[in-house]
Amino acid sequence: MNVANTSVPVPQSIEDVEQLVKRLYQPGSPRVITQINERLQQLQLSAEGWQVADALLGSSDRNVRFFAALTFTVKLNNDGATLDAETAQSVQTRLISWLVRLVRDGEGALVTRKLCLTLTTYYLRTPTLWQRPLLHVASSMQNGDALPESSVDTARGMDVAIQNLDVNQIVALLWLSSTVAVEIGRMENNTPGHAQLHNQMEVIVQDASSLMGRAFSQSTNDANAKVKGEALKSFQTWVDYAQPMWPRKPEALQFLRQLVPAAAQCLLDPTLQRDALDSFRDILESYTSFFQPQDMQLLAHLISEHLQPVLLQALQDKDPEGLPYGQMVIAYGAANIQQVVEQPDNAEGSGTIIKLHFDMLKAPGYPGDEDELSIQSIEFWNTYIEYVNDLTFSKDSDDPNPSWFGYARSVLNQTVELLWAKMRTPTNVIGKEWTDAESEAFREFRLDATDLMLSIYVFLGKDMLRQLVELALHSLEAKQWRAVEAALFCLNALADNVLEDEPSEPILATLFGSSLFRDVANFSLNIPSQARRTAIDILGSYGQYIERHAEYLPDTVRFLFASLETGQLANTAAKSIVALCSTCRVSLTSELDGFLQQYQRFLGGPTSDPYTKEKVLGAIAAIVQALRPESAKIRPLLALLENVEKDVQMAKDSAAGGDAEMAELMGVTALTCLASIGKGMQVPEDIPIDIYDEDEQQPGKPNFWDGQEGQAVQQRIMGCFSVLQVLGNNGDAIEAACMVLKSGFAEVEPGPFVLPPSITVSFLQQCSIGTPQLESVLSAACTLITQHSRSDSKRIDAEVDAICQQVASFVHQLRGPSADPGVAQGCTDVLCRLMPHYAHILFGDAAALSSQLQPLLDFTLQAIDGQDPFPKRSAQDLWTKLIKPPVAAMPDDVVTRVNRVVTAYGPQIAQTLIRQIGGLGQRSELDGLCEPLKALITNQPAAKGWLEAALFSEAFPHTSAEVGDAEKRRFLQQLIGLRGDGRKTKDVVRAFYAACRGTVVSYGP
Amino acid sequence: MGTLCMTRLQEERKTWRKDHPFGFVARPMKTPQGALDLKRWDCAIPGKDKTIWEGGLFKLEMQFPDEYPTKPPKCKFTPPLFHPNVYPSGTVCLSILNEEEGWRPAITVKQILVGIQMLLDEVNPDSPAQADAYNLFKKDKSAYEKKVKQVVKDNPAP
Repeated sequence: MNVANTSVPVPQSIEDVEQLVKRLYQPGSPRVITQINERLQQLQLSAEGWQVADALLGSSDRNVRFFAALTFTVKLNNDGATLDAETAQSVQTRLISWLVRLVRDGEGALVTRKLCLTLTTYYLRTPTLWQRPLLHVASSMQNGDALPESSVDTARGMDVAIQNLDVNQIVALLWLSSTVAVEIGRMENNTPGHAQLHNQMEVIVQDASSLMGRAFSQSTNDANAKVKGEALKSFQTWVDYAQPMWPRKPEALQFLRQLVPAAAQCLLDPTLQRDALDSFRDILESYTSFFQPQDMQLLAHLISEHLQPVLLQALQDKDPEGLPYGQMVIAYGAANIQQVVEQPDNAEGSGTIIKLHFDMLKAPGYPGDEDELSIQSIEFWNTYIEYVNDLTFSKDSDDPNPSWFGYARSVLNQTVELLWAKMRTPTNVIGKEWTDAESEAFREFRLDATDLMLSIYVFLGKDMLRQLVELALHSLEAKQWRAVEAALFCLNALADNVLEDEPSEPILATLFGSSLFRDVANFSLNIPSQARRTAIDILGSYGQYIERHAEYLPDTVRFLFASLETGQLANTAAKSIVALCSTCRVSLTSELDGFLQQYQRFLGGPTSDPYTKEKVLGAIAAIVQALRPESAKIRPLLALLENVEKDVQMAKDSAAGGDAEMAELMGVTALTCLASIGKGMQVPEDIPIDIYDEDEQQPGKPNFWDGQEGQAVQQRIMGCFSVLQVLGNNGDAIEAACMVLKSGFAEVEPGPFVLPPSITVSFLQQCSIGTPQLESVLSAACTLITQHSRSDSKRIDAEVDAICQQVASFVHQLRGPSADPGVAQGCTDVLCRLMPHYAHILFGDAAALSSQLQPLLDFTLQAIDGQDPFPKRSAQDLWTKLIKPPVAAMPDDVVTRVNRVVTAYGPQIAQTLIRQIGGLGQRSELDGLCEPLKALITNQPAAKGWLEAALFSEAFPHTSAEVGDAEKRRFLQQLIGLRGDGRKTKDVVRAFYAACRGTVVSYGP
Repeated sequence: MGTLCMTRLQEERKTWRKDHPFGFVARPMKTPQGALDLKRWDCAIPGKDKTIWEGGLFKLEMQFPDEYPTKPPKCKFTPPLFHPNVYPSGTVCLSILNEEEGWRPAITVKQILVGIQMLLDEVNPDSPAQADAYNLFKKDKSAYEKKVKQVVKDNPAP
């Protein structure tokens, strides 16, 4: 805004200025206010600013005086450093004089505080060091007007200077004292000038200390309460200043420490108590070592004698006013932790503190709702247990336990029980009233409490486990389900640690052998659903234990199946069913029929959805897998397949009826469930094949699944794929179908899901490059090739040949890897898997694909030269394999052909790699690019020539002027000299890349 | 083992305990002897509200090298997570966790975990780490989101 053209005229006199300032503080149009503000700012910056400010301080208007003090501050900030000694002196005198007079005349806080800031700015900004600002101002107050600095009697000191000052004067000095500590504290200590100002604080603190001491020693009355309150604030700001500045200056610190007894008395003054609690808590939390042993003792005494009764009453009344009292106790406890732990006999320093922490947990109210202190007290207990654990693990195991050990155990046992009691969930009536914030805070408390319990478990071990199990069982007996739930919740959190300890088994037996899971499985009992959910979680977290104890399985799994029918529990139950049925399949075979029935009932209910169906079918399939002999699997497997077939039929019917959405839903569900059954039917990896099994494949004896009955089942499985015909191009369906195929690939022995390889091939043949999830089909093809590349597996040349034909066709249609990077990667991966066992399909003399070889390889080089990271990586792998000697023998004609190909492509591959390393690639791709590069250097004598040509070719990217011929030559020399050394090659490549990209200044040797 | 590393980790543990974002978990594991192993932490990151990751809780292991905090910790989802910027091994690819990119010693455990939480929904397509999630993310957003919702269902927050 152009000020010259505004309606606010340039002020011509002090009166004008005064009027402007007054208008600034009156309501008016924002535009005019802005204009006034700009005028005044101009004035503040002008040379006359000093005189204007000085004159305005005499105004009768408070706002004008404030503006005047502000103007002084602005002037000092801008020009203070360049003031000559004389001007500085006169500014100082004027400021002190005003402060003295205004305070004497009863000036209010607004202007007085601003003037204190102005004086502090003077101390900070002017080049001459102001030795004793507090003493100087105090002496001037005593004098009635500003004294010259030279006449300040430093020998008589502060105590004398403030002897006769009144309350207002003392308060003003305390404000100045606080401001000095805050403002100097904000200033960095990084120049000689600043260091001088900081050093001077060690002198100024003496005056501040006298001042605060005088304030604290006033007798107790309302006027003095204000003085003491300000003294308390000043005290805290000085302690805050001292913490970073005086860690090795005990002499300076002593001037503050000596005030502690007097300041602590504020804790007893009803009007000051809140502020005092905040100040002391703050110092205890952030600067524990400030307090010396006698101070800590004093604080313990005050807590015990004076704060304790207030806190206890507040806890009893659920009165939020108790919060700061509790916080003080928590902060004290954490700060005094060594004594609290190691000197339990110290009544005030340890005994009372522990007791009060118990009292906070015992108090009525839910954490996060009416009870704020339990949440905060967890921090104390964390400090306690970590201290205990540190000492426990740092002592030699031969050393005797310290004397406090037993006591600490009993304290922690009590803590666990109190936490457990606090963790009980509220009744629905109470819970419904809670806001989101309250529910969240309660959940947070439960999580923090279990986190603490994990630390306590480290110390208490199985005693704590026993304690929690007993709490659970007693509550179970009393049908106190919320108490049961809280105990189970704790046990859940400890599971990983408990399961590591063998001796825990008998304790766990009492829990899992109890009526717990029969009771929760009885849905006619009125049990909070949270209790059932936590019981389900217990089965998940203690799965390993249950696996070892088959006797508990039927009860627990029956409970889970029953839970499937309750909406809130269905998903969790389904997941636990999968985990238990899969790991404990052998022990559950006798329950199979019951589970199948329960599954049918669940299907008819409202809670069955694709997710739970898929999980539970897979779980039951795992039990079927464990049946012996193989023929016993037929009936239950068909029962499972019938469920899938029903969904398939429904999908077909929906499609016929024009409901495409339903058709997709049912069709995808059918295939996903089929895949899940296939996964369940896989032979678990960790189960050794029983060589005495009567079914064991004997040479010459046909496998059951190759027989008529087995083949019939396989036909039913393959029949389900027919649903794909009505689903069109549904990616989820195609992915699920691939999952079905893959479930059989990993199997060593024939089985219902071990389908002929031709199924996978024909599936791929029905795809086009537009098929969604074609990546999955290609990935299935890759897995098939890998499975048939093992030393003991059957080679499937015809099928692999057909796969490659299809891949060649995809590559042809794609016209470049970037058209569909996912498919490009899948195709390249297939080619990669051909090495070495199926290399002849591409490279053999008789290879049907030989005419496709060049386009395929060109495609992969394009991939390395392109932007897409995954095709690039696959293509690098392929070329690395081609260049390196084969890992298994290949026919001579293939070896010769591969070598010819590499020699022919050498210059091109070298150029592609060098272009990437020369700056076109991403930095994260360099390690991958190094692999084919190293292979070239190690295996191809002509590599040096190829790389040289590539470096000096026109195709080399022109990225940085820093990389000229000399740099390229050095790079080449280094590369060749390293002879393919892995780590060093990477370093050299990275350095060259950085130089080419211009991210380093020069490409050094 | 550097004392700088241990002092810093103790400090991180303390700071985390005092103040951590809701739903996150971070705590040191135990050594075989039962003491705290400050250099390996069990963590869990909740999916952010109002994103497709909402309602999930994803476990992650944080491993601090001896050179920490000069070098960043390694963060690995266990089990590996379906996400374009998570390697098939589960390792998270994030610039602030890369010594040569955005790592600074002042970065706290909390900032790392919150950073990873943001990464869940704010995919960085420039540094893909796994093909499955990346391809789907690039090609078919709705299929990608469906898959993420499945992942959330399999890893629900308590």
